[in-house]
Amino acid sequence: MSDQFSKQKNLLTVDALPTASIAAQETTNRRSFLRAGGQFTLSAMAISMLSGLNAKVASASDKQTIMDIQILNTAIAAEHEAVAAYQVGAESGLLSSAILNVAVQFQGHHKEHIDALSKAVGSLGGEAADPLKIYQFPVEKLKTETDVLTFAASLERGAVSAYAGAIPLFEQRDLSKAAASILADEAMHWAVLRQALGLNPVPGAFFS
Amino acid sequence: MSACRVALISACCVLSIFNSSAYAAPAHYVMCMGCHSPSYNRTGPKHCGVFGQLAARQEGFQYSEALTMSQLRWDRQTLDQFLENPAIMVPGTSMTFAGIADENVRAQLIDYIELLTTDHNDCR
Repeated sequence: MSDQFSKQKNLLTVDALPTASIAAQETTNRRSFLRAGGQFTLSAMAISMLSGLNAKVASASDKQTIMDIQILNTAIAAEHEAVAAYQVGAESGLLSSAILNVAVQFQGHHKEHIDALSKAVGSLGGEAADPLKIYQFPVEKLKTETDVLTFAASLERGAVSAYAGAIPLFEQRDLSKAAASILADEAMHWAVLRQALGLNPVPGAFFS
Repeated sequence: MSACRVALISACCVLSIFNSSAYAAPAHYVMCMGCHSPSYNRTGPKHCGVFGQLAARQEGFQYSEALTMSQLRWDRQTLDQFLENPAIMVPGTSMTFAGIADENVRAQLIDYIELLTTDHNDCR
């Protein structure tokens, strides 16, 4: 475990980013990294934080509670979309087994986000958003594993912005805290996907 | 290589550079991409074709009642106000985003959205 962690840590060092000239070695490293990345787990912290909302069970009648429910439901809608997008990727037949494992794990995280956010909506007296029957994805543009990874990375990057934009709006601080926890998970997804694409996994110090 | 061919290639290069710099999504558009795409509806509606139109009128997307009833028409001014603080301009909107304080960033995004007509590459 410690050895694996050490390798993973090295790969996350910006100086050790893969280059085209070491493609063969990079492939091995990338697989090792993805195996390690597949073991990332979102803690149950977000769920427990959101469950704590039971302390303030609302009737969804006051204006700010309705706003909180609206914010949560927009997040749930985006999470449903992410689950569907990873399903498209997983079923595309374009992903190697290592990448597929990571995609399935990330999809699982998004499902956990939906569960946690839905419970929060329920505790506020609202009704959680359902998934759409049909999602529009640019499937005609997904022809290679790189296309799928790039598409997934763009969704995860967008999710970081969406949560960053939503966090200041919550009335209840516990919701902001939980959303920040989810944001961190989306950011890790994005970084792992960028690493898999051979890109700098963390290309900046600040993101909006 | 003939002079004519060189001129043609140069013209294409110039056009290509012009296309990528003048029509491409600004870097800040990534902030929109959690929910929006230029060409297809997501958690938020697509952006192609919205400029100049009444708000909440694109087919195939379920808008909030608040935006549907707003009677807003998307021009530079209304987009600027909305992007600065969606919830203040349209209370009840499902665009639950804190807003963009930097007017230059808003202007860049509006420049792009204004360009997103049906013949734009990002709308095909």
